[in-house]
Amino acid sequence: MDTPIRVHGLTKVYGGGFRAVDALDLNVPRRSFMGFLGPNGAGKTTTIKIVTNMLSATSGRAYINGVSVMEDPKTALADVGAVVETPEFYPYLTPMETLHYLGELRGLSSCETTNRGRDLLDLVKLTDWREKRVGKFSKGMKQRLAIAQALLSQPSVIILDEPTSGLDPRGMVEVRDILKQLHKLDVTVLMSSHLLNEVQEICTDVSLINRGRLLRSGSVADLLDEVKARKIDVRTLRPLTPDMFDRLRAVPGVKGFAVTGDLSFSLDFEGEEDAQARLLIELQNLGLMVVSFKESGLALESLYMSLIMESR
Amino acid sequence: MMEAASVVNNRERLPSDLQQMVTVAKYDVLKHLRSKRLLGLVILEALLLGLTFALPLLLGVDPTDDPAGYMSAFVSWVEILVIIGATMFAGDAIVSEFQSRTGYLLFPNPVKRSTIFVGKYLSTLGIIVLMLVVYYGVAAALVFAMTGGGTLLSLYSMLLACAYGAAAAALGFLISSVFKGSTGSLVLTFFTLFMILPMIAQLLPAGSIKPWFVLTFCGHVISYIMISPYPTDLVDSISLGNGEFMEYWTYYPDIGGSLAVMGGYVLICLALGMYLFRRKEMVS
Repeated sequence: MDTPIRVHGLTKVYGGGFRAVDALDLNVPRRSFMGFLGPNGAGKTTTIKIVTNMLSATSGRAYINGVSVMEDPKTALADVGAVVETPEFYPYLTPMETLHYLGELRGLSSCETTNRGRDLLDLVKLTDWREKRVGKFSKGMKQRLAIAQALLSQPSVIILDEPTSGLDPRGMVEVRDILKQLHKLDVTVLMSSHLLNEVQEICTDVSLINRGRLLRSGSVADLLDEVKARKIDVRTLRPLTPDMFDRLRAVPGVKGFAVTGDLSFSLDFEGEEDAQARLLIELQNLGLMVVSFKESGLALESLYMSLIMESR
Repeated sequence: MMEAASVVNNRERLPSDLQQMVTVAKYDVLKHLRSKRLLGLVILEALLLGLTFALPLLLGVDPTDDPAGYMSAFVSWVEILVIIGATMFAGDAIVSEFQSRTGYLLFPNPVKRSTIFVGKYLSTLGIIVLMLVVYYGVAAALVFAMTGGGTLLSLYSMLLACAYGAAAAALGFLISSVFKGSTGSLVLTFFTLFMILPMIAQLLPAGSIKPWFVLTFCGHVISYIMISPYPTDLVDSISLGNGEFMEYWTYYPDIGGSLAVMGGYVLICLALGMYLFRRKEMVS
């Protein structure tokens, strides 16, 4: 199956006529880690809920490993691990009991669940808590447990809905570290997010949606190549003074700049790496004494914003 | 560990619906066993048994030697016990998955909603039956201690109570499938069984209509079966003063009919509840 997740003409109209998903087509290639990007209310979670059989579609189809979620959800979801929103756990169960419950529903033997559960709880750093009831767990701990349960049956398809949403910075880093490990597995991942840096850091592919419609889909590298202008953050020991402005604008590739602090500014720059190297030399020649010079990693944001603006 | 992950055919090892139903029921029973609600109900049972047994002794009332008569005092509490049990264990069984967001954990799994529904119902029924068995068991032991005998009627009463519990729980599941919040669902389940249906059953005889189809009216068989011979419908006259009389019927549920009505409640409420649950969407 080249496209384990396939969505065709998916539409969801809520009561009151709000069209959350509008004839959406989405194909997630095998072994890709696809970021499903869009602003709040774009239809990401609605799409994921339909694909995981929590919402019914008004029209359209969703297939997982070739099986229609609408017609045979049990078979379609057999090989899927999912974390949708931040699930709540049964407070009367311990993490290990939770994994046994869900493992039993999926046909895992008790022994298999115990062994895998031990490894997964270790992976998500909950080993010390495995016999404690989930009722008192923090949101971050619950989110890590949610990821563990999604991996329990070693599914080939993993669906994650904003897995770092609502976590503190440390929790976000921990969850991202776990997600990065998924690259080592033979799995296909669809992960919704509105955090562009997260998608750029973790995903191999990206699909951008807004108002329930697909705007663009492709590999992250290809989409970034489309973005010619890059933003470069510069920090110096000497300030950028007005008499330097014209000289700076005259440097090849510089399309504009903005002073962001007494000793910092950002540049809109267009050019390859050699041009970037020349830019650095020019900045030093201006006598700025450059301390740091780095691409701000927001290239995807430029594309995202331009596509969102176009779609309005 | 992650590198060693192997491709497993998750479809082939997927359990049958029946096996999954048992799993859902098993873990739901665990929920009930670890809940404060069960503890509360156990305390209530102990209080009712203790008071029914001790109060006549403390007041110096001579207890009857008739085991059936003695058992009747204990059985008179069973209907309210069933109502409380159905409210506590069925009243929010479905809606809680949505309100407390545990549905986000359970529903993306390869298990049908109907399987979850029936599994949860079976666990609720199991807990209600367990509660009744304990209550009747202790009551029978106390009757034996006081009268030196027992009666088969208490067994019949318990079986009827189980049937009533099944129907009341099914009604609770239906209400729980309709509501969006646990509190509303719990309150409506309780008041439907404790006030609304009994009020209907009280009013209908005024129009000479036997409320045979009202669940709580059928539930009275639990107590009436302890009476020998079993009471039958009778008509009374009430004097209106000026030489005129008004006929007033006192109706008694018949056992077979009541069992059929309870069965009907189970089937209809479960079918409707399951239909609603399958259509219910997990919206934030």
